[in-house]
Amino acid sequence: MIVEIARHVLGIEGADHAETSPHAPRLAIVPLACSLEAQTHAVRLRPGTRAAALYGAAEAVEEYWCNYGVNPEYRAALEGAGLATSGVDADGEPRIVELGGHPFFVGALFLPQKRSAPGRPHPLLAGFAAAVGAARPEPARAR
Amino acid sequence: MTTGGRVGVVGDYRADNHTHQATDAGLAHAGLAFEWVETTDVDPARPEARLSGYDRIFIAPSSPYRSMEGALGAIRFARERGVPLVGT
Repeated sequence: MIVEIARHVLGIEGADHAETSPHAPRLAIVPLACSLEAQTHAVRLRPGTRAAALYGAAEAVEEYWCNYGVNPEYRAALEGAGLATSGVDADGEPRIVELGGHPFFVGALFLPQKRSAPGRPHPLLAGFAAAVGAARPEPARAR
Repeated sequence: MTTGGRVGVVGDYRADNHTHQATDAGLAHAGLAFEWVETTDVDPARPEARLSGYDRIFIAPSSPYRSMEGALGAIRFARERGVPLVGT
């Protein structure tokens, strides 16, 4: 999601992911300083965001299977393009992002599906199920 | 619980991948019907050709994808067309 917005909204040609293209000149996704493979951590929800409304809480505990995250150098530009940071870790690093002006466009560094159970779907997945699409036409663009 | 339509789960499914097993379970818990879509089946120039039958898109965990461009095409499709999307 980060790479897609970096390329097509911010117009950063060749923006890429360090896992698949470690030598790309413009990396929107970079290795985390500390791996989050098989770890459980608290996420702080930012008030006023969709994520905070769905959780109905100020903080949640989530399970990560991930070694990569948003390049801090891109964060301000991504937020400027409407991709809000709605959840952060204890150091303020992005853990949940969401796009304003879209019916439901939410990305997480953790796996909400890992903390879901029968009769108790994860709040982000319940919100996803309840979201109603906007059915927008294909935008005109040069191919 | 609200249900409706189908979710296209974009990723390269492996039955022995615990994150994919959790994805199946988590979507079912939310009352969602879904199908997996291989990233190589999404044409980045025409993502709608494979995805227009879904009213939600879920980008599955476990990168790298077989087709990064296919995954990006699916995300772009959801972003531009206002299709609800979750990425994990």
